[in-house]
Amino acid sequence: MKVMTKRFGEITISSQDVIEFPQGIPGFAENKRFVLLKEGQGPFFWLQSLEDPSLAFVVTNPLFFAPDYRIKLHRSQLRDIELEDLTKGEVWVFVSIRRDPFRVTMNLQAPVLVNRENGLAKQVLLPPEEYPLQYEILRAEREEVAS
Amino acid sequence: MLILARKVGESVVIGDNIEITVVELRGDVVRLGINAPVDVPVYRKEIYDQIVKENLVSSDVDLSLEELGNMVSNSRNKKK
Repeated sequence: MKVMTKRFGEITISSQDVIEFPQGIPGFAENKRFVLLKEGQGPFFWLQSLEDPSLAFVVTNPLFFAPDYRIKLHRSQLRDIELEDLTKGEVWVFVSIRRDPFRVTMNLQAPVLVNRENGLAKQVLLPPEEYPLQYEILRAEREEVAS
Repeated sequence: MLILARKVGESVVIGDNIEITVVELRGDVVRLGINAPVDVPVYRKEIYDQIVKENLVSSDVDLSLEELGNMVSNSRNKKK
């Protein structure tokens, strides 16, 4: 299938690669279908909306930066994407980039779970005391110079 | 906004399958019990709002992933 994207123009993806968020993503309820796109060799991917060409999130594998990251979920939280257990799913986290001061963080508090077998996904909200909303992976250069 | 008065132990029902019960009143804190189907997520509003805000930041990126990857790996190399 062909998909229009702001960053890459028209691209062709396989329907098996479509990731569907039946409940939407908080703040973006209108967008249900996405695809993961790689750009370059780094650890980051785009989670590109199939409905809005200009909407794409930066996501990454949390274990790349936080190897100890482990999430615990109740089975009922897996049921709506028909995931039997967590080990059978993929876990991604959103990456935020801020300017002034420049910071790159990942959202460990609300990871995205993907069931590759049926293409269903959801963003889960973990108890806020477990993991931070803004886990630092890169800080402003000038702070590094100063330290 | 619909406003209903409820006592401890009383409930409101929303649609066919959501029930919210006032469990306890202590000072200015109300404890609520919520019965809802698994596909209806229930969140504390301030937490939900933070996630929405953070998702908005994640969707607002003006770098390429290659640039971002380079910046992160450079900074990691420096730390080593």
